[in-house]
Amino acid sequence: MKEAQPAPTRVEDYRWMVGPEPVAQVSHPGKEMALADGEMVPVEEALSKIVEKVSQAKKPVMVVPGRMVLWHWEEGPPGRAKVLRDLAAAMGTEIRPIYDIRPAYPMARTACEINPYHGDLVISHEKYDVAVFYGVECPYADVALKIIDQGTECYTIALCGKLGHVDASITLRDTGMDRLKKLTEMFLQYKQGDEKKQ
Amino acid sequence: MTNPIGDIENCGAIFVIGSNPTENHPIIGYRMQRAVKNGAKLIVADPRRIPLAETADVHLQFKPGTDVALLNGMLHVILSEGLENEDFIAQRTNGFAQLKEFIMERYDLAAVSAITGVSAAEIARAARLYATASSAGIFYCMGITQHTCGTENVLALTNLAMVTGNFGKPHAGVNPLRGQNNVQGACDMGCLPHVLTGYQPLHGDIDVDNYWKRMAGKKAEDAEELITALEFDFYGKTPQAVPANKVSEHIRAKFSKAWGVELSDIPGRTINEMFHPLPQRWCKALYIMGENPLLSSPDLLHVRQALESLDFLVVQDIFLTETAELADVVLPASSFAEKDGTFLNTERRCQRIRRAIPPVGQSKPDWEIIQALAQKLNLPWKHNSAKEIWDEVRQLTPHYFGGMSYERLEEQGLQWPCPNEEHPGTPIMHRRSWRGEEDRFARGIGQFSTVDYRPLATEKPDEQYPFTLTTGRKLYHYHTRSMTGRVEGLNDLLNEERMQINPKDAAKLGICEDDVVRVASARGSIETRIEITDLVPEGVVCMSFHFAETPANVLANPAICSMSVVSELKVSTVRIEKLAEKAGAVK
Repeated sequence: MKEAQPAPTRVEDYRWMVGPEPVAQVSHPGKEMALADGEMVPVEEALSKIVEKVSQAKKPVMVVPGRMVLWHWEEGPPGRAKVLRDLAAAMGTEIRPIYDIRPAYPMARTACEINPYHGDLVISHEKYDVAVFYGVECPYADVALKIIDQGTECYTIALCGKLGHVDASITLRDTGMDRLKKLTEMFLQYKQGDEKKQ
Repeated sequence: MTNPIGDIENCGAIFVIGSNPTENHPIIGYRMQRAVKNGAKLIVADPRRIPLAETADVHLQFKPGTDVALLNGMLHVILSEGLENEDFIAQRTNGFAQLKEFIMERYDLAAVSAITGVSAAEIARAARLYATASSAGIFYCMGITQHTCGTENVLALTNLAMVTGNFGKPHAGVNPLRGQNNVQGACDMGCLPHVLTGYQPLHGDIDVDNYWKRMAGKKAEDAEELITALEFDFYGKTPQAVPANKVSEHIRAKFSKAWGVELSDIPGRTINEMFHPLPQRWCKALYIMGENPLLSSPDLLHVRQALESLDFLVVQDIFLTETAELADVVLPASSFAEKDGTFLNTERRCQRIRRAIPPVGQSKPDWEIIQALAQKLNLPWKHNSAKEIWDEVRQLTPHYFGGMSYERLEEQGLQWPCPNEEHPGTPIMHRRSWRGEEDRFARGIGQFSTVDYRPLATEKPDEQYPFTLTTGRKLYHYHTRSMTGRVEGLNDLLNEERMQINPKDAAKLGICEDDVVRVASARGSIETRIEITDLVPEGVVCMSFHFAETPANVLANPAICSMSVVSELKVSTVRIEKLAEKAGAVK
């Protein structure tokens, strides 16, 4: 019989106990590909699915870092903020700004810091059924999406500018302003098509 | 507060929003009234006609939850009439052009008036009074912060003050009024889940480069050396690695050395996370000090469930509160009169308190209880007095408290930051940066924020729940009455809750003064007497959460602000049903 290990008492003791899949079981999407409900699909197909999911949602939300829509801390944010607001308007969602990193407190030597995680709380309380993430710092997005996935029924869409987030229901990689504008167009066309049908 | 309380009486203009100072901060309310006598212009923005509104030059009675629209509307007036402080903006701020474009494009007064229910003329008048004063102070409280858009509300207020140059000078500033004698001190001492004293971060810096290396590797063995933070998954299985790579090692090392224990870099939980909507995320044990969440937290029925499900509950308080009644262990703490130490008040002033009487019965000062517990856990804590602990705080947090020795505090209170013994303290913030540059904000250049009104930020009245409930406090009682409820004289003055309702609404419901009604929200219902008054506008009702017999927070909305994790206690939708006419005691 295997001898029971003593309970670890220090953070250091946990260091070797990396979880079964520290990154993810699923691979990140390759170039010009996306991950949708666990399937690798072309970006175009994923975009259409995003339009469908958000349009059919009861209460969708767009989650964006405050710095991107409120503070203008980075180069080019006014233009980016406008693109995001246009997309949110086309989707019919509200924008929930979040901290993904905290403001710098110079004397405390902190460049940035992960906030306590609570994306799941906001989603649970507000009963959002689809959440679209854009621009959230990747380490934060990974954690937030994992928590949301475990604790809510919310369908998550990560429009990532880097490699994508496998814990999201749909994830795109390399998402820049052009793709957001294209997505906005697709939403507007979808709405027009819907209106014509009616 | 950016400015001291003593500044109030000579303000050129005072803008009070989301605060009821004459009832909740009577000394400050009194000073505001003195300021009006001295010639200050008074602007009050509140959905209710609070007592201070009677002496105000303008009362903006806006719809609950529309603060951002109102403040942006005022900004629109200031910018369109050229009332901004151009020199201040040019020398000390960043992002003004974007802000101006954003506000001018989206917040014309007709639109703002439609959102807020306040006339364009009144908004314009308030904006002019504020912007043209020689110095103008903004004063706010939880009417601003207890919203799902609480952070955005504060940012919108800050925009107003920066546009008009009301920072870094006397009789001005942005001044949150803290609700307790030491709530500022609690935050400053690290009673927040993610920081240590002086807001030094517990959690590490994110080294994005390392993160990307790890992600590119995609293999656990490659990743191992880069993993420096861990999180337990929420179902009690194995620890999960989280990708926070580079911790603030020297800060944690400093505290670890002082406290004789290796500190984790995992942030704690906020109160809202402790009472998570999902039972599987509830804590197994809680140690609650000086807090009575069974009355003060939103969605009380849910909170009670979470507390009753605990394996172990410890409550440390000076009286047996409603929460303490559920505890497995109650640790008797001593009151302010029975202990030595310091309090840090709303104006960042550190003040000495001195023991007047020995602790009653088995009670002990909080620090003695905590230290005794730490010693049981084999921690080498051997403080002999509150002074020794304060000296440790000063040593570990020199940038805030380094110069605040007991010897100096004996003579006078000092306002942080006070980094060394020669420093006089800082009565007015944002005159110079942390680095010592003159005419700068603490962070350096002030950053404007383009804050947008979110119409979906609050619950909206509908057919099922047609009224908006807002909560507040009353002059004669404090918080959940754990102290004031034991004072006979105060109970003589006010011994039960009466929900305020507008006469027109009362007439529609067929209810009269003193009738008992049932008030229900999506979360639960309570019974209360009513007070018919035009202090509240039509469609809005108001209750305090003081009384355990009428626990208003059963109804309150637990939705949170994405950024501050503060609950939306100020806006909940409810329906009202008549129960009895002038009936006996409310259940």
